[in-house]
Amino acid sequence: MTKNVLKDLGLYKNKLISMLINSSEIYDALCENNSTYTDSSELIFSQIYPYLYVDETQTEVLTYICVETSVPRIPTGTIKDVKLIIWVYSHKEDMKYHVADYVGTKVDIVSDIVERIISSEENCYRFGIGKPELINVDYFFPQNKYYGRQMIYNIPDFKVKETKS
Amino acid sequence: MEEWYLMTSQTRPNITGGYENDAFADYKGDAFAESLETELATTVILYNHDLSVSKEARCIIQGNGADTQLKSLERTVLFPIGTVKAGMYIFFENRYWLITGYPGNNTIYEKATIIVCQYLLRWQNKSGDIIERWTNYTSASKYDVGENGNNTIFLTSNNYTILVPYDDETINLEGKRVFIDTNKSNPRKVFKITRSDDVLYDYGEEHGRLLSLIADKTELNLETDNCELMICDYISPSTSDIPSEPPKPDEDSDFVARIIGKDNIRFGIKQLYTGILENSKGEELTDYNFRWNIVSDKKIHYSESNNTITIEIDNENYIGSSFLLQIIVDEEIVASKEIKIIGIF
Repeated sequence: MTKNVLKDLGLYKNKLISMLINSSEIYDALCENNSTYTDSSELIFSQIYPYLYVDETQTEVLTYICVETSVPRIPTGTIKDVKLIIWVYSHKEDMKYHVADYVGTKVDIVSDIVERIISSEENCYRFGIGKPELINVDYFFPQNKYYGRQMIYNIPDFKVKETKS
Repeated sequence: MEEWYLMTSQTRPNITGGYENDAFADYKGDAFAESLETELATTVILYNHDLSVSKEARCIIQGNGADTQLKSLERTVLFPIGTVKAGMYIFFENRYWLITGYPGNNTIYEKATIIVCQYLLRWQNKSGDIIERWTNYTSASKYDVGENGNNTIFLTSNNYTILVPYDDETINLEGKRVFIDTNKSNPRKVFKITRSDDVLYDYGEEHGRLLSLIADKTELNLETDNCELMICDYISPSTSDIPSEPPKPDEDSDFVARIIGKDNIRFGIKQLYTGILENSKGEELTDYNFRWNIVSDKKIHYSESNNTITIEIDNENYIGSSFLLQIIVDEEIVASKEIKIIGIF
């Protein structure tokens, strides 16, 4: 058995991104008029990224979700706090979106969808100890043509994990 | 010896009778016209700003043997005086050339500078008509690498200076997004017209006028841009409130019914719909009583007045759903419209 502290950084992103690509609401919002995807997994590294930037020079008006993790605090010898950062941002020409049960701009709606996915009964216990705690939601400008929201979750977890080698 | 010398020091030199200036005035036009009949001249087609009016003309084209690539895109053309203005097109060698310079003349012929048009620009005006103009392009960002961005995202960049005839349609190009892409099967290059200079090339009513535009590279929006028609922010005639052709009356009925109003209704904003009954001649009929009917499982507030109905959605949970608005005459549905409930923005 090998011990690790930071494997959760990649593992949380992996879990969250798999939840996102399995969501039909996320797919509909991100691919509203783009029928070039044959499978939702193609969204990874095209509109959903496991880091806070977008690969490749963009030529199209699109919406993106970027995910990142960090460990801002290790408060005790046994617990670490993992911070899960989610960026949802759209090109300024792609802010309008209408779907049942949701209200707001596309950024508002996609952020709401992401939050509901994480806090759903099915998913909320898949991260750390207890449920992820949404501690901050704010707006930001990733670039002069884009606008979006940043959501930050705090997820306490055991500091050291053991995995079979 | 001087007594029989008819010419004095004041006598002007002449060929025949001392009227060389008159000879010049009499024959200069003929001399140029004669040169137009020779192999020196070329037959071209002259067009107005929107290609709606054309005529064949003979002219002398100079500058065909250019020494640089940039100069090869330009020519000077000699016409009879009064033939051309800036903003007209000349069609020759299977290309459209735009008259860009102020046409000047030396009393014998008129000279104008022309530049080749590389691309047919297409856009849609406010009335929904598709407008096309042949345009000339030069780079306004010659040493731009083609991308710029920051730590988060990189976008493509490019700039063109566009020359186009000045007219009622081109003057409204500023702010519009256009395709500038020679790939007709899958166009992806979209530009926004960010600047128009209407003063630089204004030569007056008699001599013509051009418009200079700056096009800035922007992103393709598959939601609004029609790649097949190569029109950005395309408004289809079928999405307008008024149908492009009124529906024809059925054989069994002597009228046709229409509902005028938007396909979407915004939450929290009252929307008016009008019901119209028309005969086969398109004349409105007023002697029919009809009633409105709303088909929906949701509670929708409305008020009626004559042939109009005002609907208001006050429950945000209805956003994303739709309902049917119908006109009923003699208990028969004669018109039906599906209306979608959308958010306020």
